[in-house]
Amino acid sequence: MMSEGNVKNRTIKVDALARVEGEGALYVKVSGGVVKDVRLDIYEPPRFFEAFLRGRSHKEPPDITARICGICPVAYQISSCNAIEDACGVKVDGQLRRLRRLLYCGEWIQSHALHVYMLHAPDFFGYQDALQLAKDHPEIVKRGLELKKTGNELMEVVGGRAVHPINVRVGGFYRVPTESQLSGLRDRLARALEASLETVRWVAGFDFPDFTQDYEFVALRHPEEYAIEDGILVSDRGLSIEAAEFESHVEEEHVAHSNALHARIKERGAYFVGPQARYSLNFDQLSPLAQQSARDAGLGSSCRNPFMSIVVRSVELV
Amino acid sequence: MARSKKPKLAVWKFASCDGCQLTLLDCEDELLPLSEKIEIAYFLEATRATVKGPFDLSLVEGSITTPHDVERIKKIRDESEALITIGACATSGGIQALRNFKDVADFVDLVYARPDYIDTLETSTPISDHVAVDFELRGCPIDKGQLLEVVNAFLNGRKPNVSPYSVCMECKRRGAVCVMVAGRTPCLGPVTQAGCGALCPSFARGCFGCFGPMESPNAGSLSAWWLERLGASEEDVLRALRTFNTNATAFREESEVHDV
Repeated sequence: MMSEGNVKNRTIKVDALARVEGEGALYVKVSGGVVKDVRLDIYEPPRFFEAFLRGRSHKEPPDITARICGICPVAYQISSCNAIEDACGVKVDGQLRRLRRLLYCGEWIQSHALHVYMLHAPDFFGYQDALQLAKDHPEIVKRGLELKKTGNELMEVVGGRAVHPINVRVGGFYRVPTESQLSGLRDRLARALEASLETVRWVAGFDFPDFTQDYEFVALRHPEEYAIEDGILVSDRGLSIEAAEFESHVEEEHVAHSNALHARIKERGAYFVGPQARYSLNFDQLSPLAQQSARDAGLGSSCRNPFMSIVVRSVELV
Repeated sequence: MARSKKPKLAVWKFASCDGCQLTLLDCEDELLPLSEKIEIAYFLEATRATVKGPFDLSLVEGSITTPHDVERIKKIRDESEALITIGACATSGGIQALRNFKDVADFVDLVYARPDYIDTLETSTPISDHVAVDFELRGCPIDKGQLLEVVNAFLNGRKPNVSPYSVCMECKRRGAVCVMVAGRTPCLGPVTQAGCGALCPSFARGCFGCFGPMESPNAGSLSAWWLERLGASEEDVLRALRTFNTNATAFREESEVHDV
């Protein structure tokens, strides 16, 4: 990180952000004690997925789009299945739908555990990484790795492998797991639940700056459950649309400094997505245990402090 | 700080999905013991600590798609005692090498509102097209066990035990029923390198080539089998060969036969 000038007038430049998913650089200009400019430069080279999906069979997008991200491939697999099934008028329901959600939960467990323990938590201690954290607190890091491993195992049983599962197809699965394969995970999942409750208690004790912002939260919402893979898009300022209506309400702008497009709601502007948006819009649908762990951690039914995303993410593990 | 005697490992990313470097972090049981044996000198996904080169071992994920990256990989090569590519992108050019068969300007126009902001090459190419590579580890994604084997082998100065034979061998070994013979399902297993453990056939689907071409594959014979015995179309064959290892020589050349 490069920082020039005094506290009131300075420029902060981070050429390559560490412990993030993907690649980015950050530029912050402070003048007279006021932040004048912030640029997040996603310099990840363009890969053109939208372009090379053209001319492919309708069966191929789940495998192709998975390669957008190796940390969250299931998100792309299920989204592309949803889109094609919607276009074909097919509804995947019942046990197949539950199984998809289970696979997605596996991805959440591994990705959230990775994020909480290996990417985010070291910052609160001033450590460079989770390996340094492990030198002083080996039991904590081992707990995180066990949680992550449980998520990966769930993905392997349902999806075939943890990175780029092979078992997801339009309409369902190639092969459903056997009852004994699934019941074999029960004990590990019970231990993972305990570990996730311990995770919430651990991160709730971190020091957080007192800082809240007036974001517009946008997330999925489903009538019957905490929305993960299915639902309509809602916000706390009145947005309520089907996924297919996205482009009527949201515009994407291409800025010079970044390869990632900037999305804004046409009438209002920038919005906020991710764990805190999901949590704040769907708190009532979290399990009673997750709600209780959130309350014990001092959270309300909404959280607008971005530094506390680690607590919210941990509650989603429960 | 006293200079560490441990071998220095660096992990680099080019155009890719992060999945192969994630495989290193997915070694949940091995990661902490491994970190006692080696110094992780550069691995942005895992640490903000950066130790200067030279590095004993560099793992490279991703393909070369920008002018800037052409220069960056040369510098990394200069600083690395051994350089191993991990995954289909670094080893063959990856899914983004689909641009190699089209005009990349059309791709840019289709995806970006301001094509003038985009700086990209016309092709996506493997690391070995640009610098010398000591070992290429296949897979989309790579296999955790093979990754540990290769790192272990290089740190101990021995040859990695990674087999170049086909997925069929793994299928037979695990007793999986042949999806092509029994189910008439098109499968790339006979021409694809092993490493996944015959994952797809064990899930009753055909192999789709994540590990790239095996050593001396007979892709023409397999295409003929698909066309004549399984009722596949020329387009089916073309699409099957044009995914994650589309720029690997054997897959590229055979795909061009069917690109009519």
